[in-house]
This record gives sequence, structure tokens and C-alpha cells, in this order.
Amino acid sequence: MKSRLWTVCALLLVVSLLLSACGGAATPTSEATGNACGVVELQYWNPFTGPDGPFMGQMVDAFNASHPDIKVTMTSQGEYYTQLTTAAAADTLPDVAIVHADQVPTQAFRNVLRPMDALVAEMGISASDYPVGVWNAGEVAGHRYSIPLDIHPMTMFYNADLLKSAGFENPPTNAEEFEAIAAALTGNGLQGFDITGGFPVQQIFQQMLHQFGGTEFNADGTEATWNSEAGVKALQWMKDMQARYSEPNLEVDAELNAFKTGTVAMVWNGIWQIANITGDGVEFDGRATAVPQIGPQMAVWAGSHQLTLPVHKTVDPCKDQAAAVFIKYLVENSVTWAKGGQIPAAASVRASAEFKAIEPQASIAPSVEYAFFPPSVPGITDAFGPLGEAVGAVMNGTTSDIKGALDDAAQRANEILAQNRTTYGAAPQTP
Amino acid sequence: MTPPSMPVQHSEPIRHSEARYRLQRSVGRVALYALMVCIALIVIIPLLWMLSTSFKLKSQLFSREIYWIPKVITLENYTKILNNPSTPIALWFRNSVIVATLTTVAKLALDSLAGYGYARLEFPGRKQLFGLLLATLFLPGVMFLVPNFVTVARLGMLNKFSGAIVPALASVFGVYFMRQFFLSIPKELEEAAAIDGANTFQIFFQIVLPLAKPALATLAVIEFLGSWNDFLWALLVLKDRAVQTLQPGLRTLQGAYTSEYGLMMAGAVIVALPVLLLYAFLQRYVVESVATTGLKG
Amino acid sequence: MVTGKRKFNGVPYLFILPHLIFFIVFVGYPFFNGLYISFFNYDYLRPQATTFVGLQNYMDLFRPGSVKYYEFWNSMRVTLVFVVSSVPFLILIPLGLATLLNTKLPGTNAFRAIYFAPWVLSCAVISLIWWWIFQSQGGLLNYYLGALGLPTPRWLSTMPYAMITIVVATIWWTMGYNMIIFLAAMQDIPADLYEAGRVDGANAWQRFIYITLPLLRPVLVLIIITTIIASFNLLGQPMMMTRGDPRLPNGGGATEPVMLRIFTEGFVRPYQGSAAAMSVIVAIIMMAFSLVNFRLFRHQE
Repeated sequence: MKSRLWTVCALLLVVSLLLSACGGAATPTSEATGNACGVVELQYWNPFTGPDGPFMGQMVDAFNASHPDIKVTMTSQGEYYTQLTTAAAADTLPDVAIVHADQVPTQAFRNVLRPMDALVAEMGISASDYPVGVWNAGEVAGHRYSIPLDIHPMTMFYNADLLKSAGFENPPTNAEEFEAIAAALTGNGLQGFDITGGFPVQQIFQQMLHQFGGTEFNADGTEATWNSEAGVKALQWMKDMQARYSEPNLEVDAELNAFKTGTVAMVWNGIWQIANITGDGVEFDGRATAVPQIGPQMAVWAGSHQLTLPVHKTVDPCKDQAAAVFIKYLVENSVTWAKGGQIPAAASVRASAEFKAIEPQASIAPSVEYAFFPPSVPGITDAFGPLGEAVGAVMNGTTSDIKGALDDAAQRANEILAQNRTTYGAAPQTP
Repeated sequence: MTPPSMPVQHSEPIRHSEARYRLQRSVGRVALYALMVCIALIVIIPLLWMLSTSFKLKSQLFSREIYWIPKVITLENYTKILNNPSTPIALWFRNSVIVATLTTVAKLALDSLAGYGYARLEFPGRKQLFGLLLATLFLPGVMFLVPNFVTVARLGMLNKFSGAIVPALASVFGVYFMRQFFLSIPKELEEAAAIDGANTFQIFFQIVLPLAKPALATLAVIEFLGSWNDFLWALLVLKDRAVQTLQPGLRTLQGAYTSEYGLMMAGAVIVALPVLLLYAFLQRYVVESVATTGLKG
Repeated sequence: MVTGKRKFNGVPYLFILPHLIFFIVFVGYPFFNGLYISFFNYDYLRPQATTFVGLQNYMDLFRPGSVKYYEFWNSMRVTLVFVVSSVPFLILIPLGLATLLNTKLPGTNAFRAIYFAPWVLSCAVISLIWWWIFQSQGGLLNYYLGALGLPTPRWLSTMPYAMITIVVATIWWTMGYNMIIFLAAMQDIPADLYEAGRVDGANAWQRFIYITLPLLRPVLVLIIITTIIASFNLLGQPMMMTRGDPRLPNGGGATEPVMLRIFTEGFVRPYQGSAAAMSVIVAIIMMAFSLVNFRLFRHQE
């Protein structure tokens, strides 16, 4: 037995030494000779490990096929931001990386991303092609750090069969219609509108806050302002809807699972749930459309994936050129990306016939004009933490003092914002 | 040759109680076995459930009835995982083999040398130094994370196998284990060799080390297991696709397949199976090594 | 040569030095470096922005009402709750199992192998398995609870259930380890002691209390200490099963132990100085605890 064990050990050792010799990390380095770039290899990272990943893969393949002098290798990973920060510490960042809009300032300040002002002009991409909010999300401390690729808004999902059975042909577009439908379809084992206490309840609150005229932060991101009257109204409305039309105390994703059983008329969630709870994902006629306007003004919560240039110790102008070409290509061809359930950020792409043929994205697309984004301040995601906790606590019934919860969260968020200001300073400093 | 035992004539009451004693013992035995089987079931059920889920179609995961044996046994979970470029299980497996093997071999070398040093070789402060080594076992592991991460980054070992292997070599457990073993060898062997003129190195390599094979084998099994199962440090340091290992990979799986529990369980099976198989063969080594660590030397 | 200094023998150092070098670099240095970092506002990605803040990182942890105060002391409380609710089971259940296996019935080796098996699995695997079992939709436990007409709580997202899930998973995973050590110690107890006890008329329970337990005491004390320390180090299971949720209104998570808090502070947020300060405080507490226990243990000896 023991000699067998030793043989196994010896074999393993030899095998592993051999294996470690072949393969291994190493981003391909290409020395910048200045004149002829030859074939440029680009590393492209994104967090698309889910079902939308293959659509991005299609775009990359099409790009490689049509650009023989540039070879893009795509890597999709989870744990994305620790991925980036570790690579930053090791100087093994890719050449192009997707970053969520609310993370762009933080990653810029942490020396993960570098400005791309010069390249933007070359790419021929202009601000006018984008809604203001999503374009500004890429501007940090006076420099451009990212180009928007897509916008993924809060979406209204509804069970068309249930609605029809109660006599409603169309989904609601305002508060009255919304409550009418919800009321008609609550009872007898049905829920008119299920809302969860977990994700994305915070985002729903942000949306309602904006619809009632408030904002999460002041313009320069120094103070949390969600404890305004608009905030209290928003959270109160959500609580009322929950009490009247929803199952109480739903955990994250529980409202989606309930919707899938066909007993819920409406749910709100991110557009990325299209494949999950509409069309072929469900046995009834599940549909998606833009969220209704409940408050005095229209607003839609949205996230956005932005294309960025990560930091390198030595910048290769050949790679920068290639990266610019690649980014421009992705933006112009983002209609393929739309098929994965996203909405292209560029207005020109959204106006194209090809995009308009994709449903339900095309119906939801007009709402992205009303998308809002947080101020471009580093560490802003941390400041949202207390808000999420407060909204969750209210919706879960842990506390019933809405104003108190929002005030408390705002106070804590202000502390976080102040700490961020001292930590990050006014502009990114390169080491 | 002893005479065959004659049936002893018992009086009635004694025979009755002996029979009752035997019956009680049998009933007791059956009860004990039943208890042990129940506990064994409790231990095994989660593993069986993991296995069962891995062969189910997505549509069957939330059905009204629970099926231990899936209505439709499918291999699609496994094929999907193995074919998904975002979850390169074969690559993770290979990387885990590399890291675990190299770590184990290096540790065996370092720890047997050091263990012998602390056990048999006199030098000033030996007792205190070893005591210090042991004392660090009581410190919270997390306090070393950030400084070691920065050290590894500065040494250029981030996103390389060395980043996972090298810091692991600082661990004290193997040194303690080998020291225990060397202390248990009778000194006469070494003393005899010294009288014959052997120097310390010769004594160690030619006399003591060959005797240590069982201890080294046991240590190898436990260190290999520890390295194979390492999650946190690998999560921090082996981030690039090319160097990722199995355990953090499982977490990636969990994130990549939200609510696709069949895929996740298939991943868990793939990760767990090699270890369980190895355990089935080498179970005695693993159990023995754990047992000896508990007995104070 | 009558008197004179003993010749310096460098050989022992050659034996211990290879390991010692790694130990110094990856245990000794980080210990002091962590202490050093705790006096700064430090982010490894922005080394140029390192600022000396003195005791600020520590004072933030003791300033009631600050975000860090709530998050840190909540995580300490969560850790304590976990220790108190899991350690008794992690001692008593393995003790019971070891007693069961010590009956030397034929086949106990097979059962021993089975009870120990979960320990060879990794934290990632067992967390995933139990996360799936505790799912409120489609999870094994809620299915059977529902079938029996019992309440089916949302295990992973409500309290106190979320803590229970972590305790259960941990017990299933690690009970075999303590069990083996108890068993080995029990098997060392000479059989004649039990014979003598039987002759004296002691039943099985009395033999256990008056013979087994006293002789197990040294091992028991060691196991209790190491189990408590291991429980203090809880990180993987909450990270993968509950992510520290449910979130508490004042900050922090209801299943976020101190190790997860420190990890989050240093690697998700960029506050390594603050994480280092938290580590120092936890280290002090753990060292004090170990010291007190060893003193007590030595007294009783």
C-alpha cells in the first residue's frame, strides 16, 4: 500500500511539473515598435457568465472575423471586481474591460482604469448619441473614463393571460391603471403585484424616489437626500402596494418564482429576467414592458455596462488603437447584444430597424431616456449600503418608521461619503 | 487437549437470567446498529441529494413531488458545465492538481527537515522558538490576509501558482506533526550511527528519514487535502483564468448559474468526487493522521 | 583542549532555516506589518495616497453611532452567537458518536469512515450542498417539512433560521474530526478499568461519567479550545450560503461573522488599514482567551 502511495505521489509530481510547464497565464506582450503594429492581440474581460454571455461572444467572433489584424480574446468571470483589483495589483489587467456605471468612478480612482479622452475623439463617438445620464456616468473628475455599451432598466413583467381574464388588454401606464389591475387580480390565491424584500427592492425605491421628484444624493455626491418628502412618499407607496397586493415577506427571487407559477399578475425586476419569466421561460403568456409612471414625473432605474481601458504599466499605442477600433465596433453592433436582453445605449442603434424588430426590448427601450445614474463619485456604491438595509428592513416589516429608517440610513451614508472624500481626494492620482 | 466442556446443569432461575441477558444484549446490539445506521443516513443524505439533483432537468427541480431518483436522468448538466468556457472545470482541476502536489512535496521536504531540527538537534532557544511557532496557531487567520496579499503582489507572484504555493509553506502543522514523529523514534538508532562516525546529515537522510515513510505518507495525504480544499487564499490570489483552481471555481459556478441548481450540483459532484474517491482508498491514512494530532506528545 | 567555548554548530540551523524563512516572511512579517498598516489609511492600489491616521482606525471602531462601530461589533456579536450555539453541539455530538463507535461492534470501522467523510470535502462544496438543501423553493428540507405539515421558514434569508443553517452545515461538516480524536483517546483507556467498574456494579452511564470522562479531560479541554478557535475563524460557510444576510437595519449582516467583516473591509472595500485594526482587536481577544484557558487548564492539572 505504501509503495503504491509513493508511486502515485511521484507520478503526480512529475505530471504536475509537466503540466505547469505548458500553458499558464501570461497576457501576450507585444513590444510597441511604433510603425508597423502587425497583428495586435487584445484581452477583453467582462462579468457575463450568465446566459447573455454567448451573445457577447458572437460579437467578439464577428469582430475577429472582420478584422484580421486584431485578435480579441474574451474572458468572462464572476467575482468581477476582486478580479479586477487583484489584476491591478499584479499588473495583469486586460486591454478592454466592462465596468458597471456605478463602479467607474471607484475603479478610476483606484488606478484600475485610465482616461480615454484622446481616443474618444478618434472613435468618433459623441455625447449626443446617448441619454445624458448614462453618458455622464463615464465622466470622472473632468475626464472620460468609459463609453456606455448598454442600459438595463427596471422592467414591468406581467402575466397577459391573467390580465385578459380580468378584462385588461394592456399593461398599466400610470398609477390608476396600475392599481386597478392589481386590485382586480388580488384574491383567490392570486396576487396583483408581488414585491420582494430583497434585490431589487432598493432599486425600485430609487425609481419611485425619482418619480416622486427626489434624488438619492445631491448633485456633487456629498450628501444623501433620499430622506426627503419624496423618499417617504416613495417608500410609503411601496409599502402600501405590498400590503394590498403582495405576499408579505418575500425573499430575493421569491417574487419571480411565484410569478412563474402563474399566480401573480405583475412584478418589477431587471430586464435581464426576460429569458427567465417571459416567452419560453413560462407556460403562460408572460410579457415585458416599460414600467408605468406612478409619480408626477417619469423615471426608470437602470444600470449600465460601460467599456473601459484598464491601466497598464507600459502603454502600447498599437493596442490602444486596436482597443479604440474594438470599442467602436461593439457600440455600433450592439444590436446583437440586445438579443441577449440588453438595450443598446447608443440612440442611433436603438433607432435602427434591426433593433426595433427585437421584442420586448424595443417596447422597453423608450424608457431608457428616463434612466438616472448616481453622481460620478468614487465609493458611491458603498454609500448605497445603508439605503438598501433601510428599504429592506421596512419592506420586511422589521421596522415601520419609514422616515426614521430613511433618516438613519442617510446619516450613515453621509458618514461613508465623508470618509470616501478623505480617502479618495478630488482626482485620481497615478502612483 | 482440554476435555470437551460438559453441559453444566444450571438450576432453572440462573438459566432464565442468562437467556434474558443474551436477549438483552442482542436487542441492545440491534438498537445500536439501528442508531448507527440512522446517523450514517443523516450523514449521507446530503451527498445523495447532491448527486440526485445533478442528474435532473431544470424543469424537474421545483416539481411538487420530490424524486430521489430523477424521472428523467440527464447528463446535460455535466456536459453543459464541461462545455461552458466560463466554467472551465477541467482547467480548474488541472490547476488544483498542480498547486496541491507541488505544495505537498515542498511541505514534506521543509517540514521533515524542520521537524527533525526541533526534535533532535540542540540549539539555543529551541524550545522557545518552537513554542512561538505553535503559539501562532491560535491567531486569527484573517489578520494575515492583507499583508500577505501585498507581499505576494510585491514579489510578483499574484496570478501565478507560486502565489498559492509559497505562502502555504509557512504553515506550522506539518512541522509539529513531523517533530512528534521524530520524538517517538528511539534515540539509540541515531546514537549508534553517531558513534559509527556519521554526521547529522547522514543520520537524517540515511537512518531517520527512511523510518519516517509512514509519517510522511500520512502528512502528505493531509497536506494534499488541505491544499486541494483551500478556498480563501486561492480566491484572492489565483484570479486569472489560467491559474484558477477548483474551490473558488465552484463559487464562480454558483454565481454563473443563478437558480440553475442542477448545474451547480453537477459542479459540486465533479469537485467532490475525486476527494471522496481518494478518501475511500486512503481513508485509514486520513483518519490516523487526525487521530495522532489529537494526542498530546 | 580543556576549557573553551563550545564550537558553534550551524547544522541545526540548516535544518530549521528553510521552513523558518517562509514562516518569517508569511507569518512573522505580516503579523507586524498588519499592526503597522492599522495606523494608516491604506489601499494597496493607491499606495501613493497612504496617510498616517494614528489611532483613528481603532477609535472608529469604538465610537458609538459610527458605521464601522455597528458593523464591527455586530459581527463580533454574530461570531459569539455562532460560537455559543455551535460549540456545545460540536463537542457533545462527536463525543456521543465516539462512544457509539467505541462499543467495538463489528463494522464500526465502516461507520467511522462514513461519519468522518464530510470532513474531507471542501468548504465550498459543503456550503453549496447545504445552500441548496435550505432553499425555500425546491429545497429538500422545506419539502419534507411541508409534507409533514410543519412550517417552512425561509431558511437563508430570515433570522434565526439563517444562523441555524450555518450551524447545521458546520456540524455536519466537522463533527467527524472531533469524533476521531475522542475515539482515539477513548481507545487508549485500558479495558480493565471498565471491568473493575462493571464488577463494582456500575451501569453503562455511570461508567461513562466516572471513568471515561475524567480520563478524557485533557483531550476534552484541548478539543474545546481548538473548536472555539476554529469557530471564531468562521468565514466560508456564511460567505457562500448567506453572504452575511439578512442585512440589519443599523448596518452589517445577521450572519456576518467578524472574519467575513474583516475580509469585506479589506478586499471588497478598499480599507485595509481599518481591516488591519479589526484584525488586531480580534487577535488580542483570541490570544487573551487562549491564555486564560491554558492557565485554567494548567491549574486543574
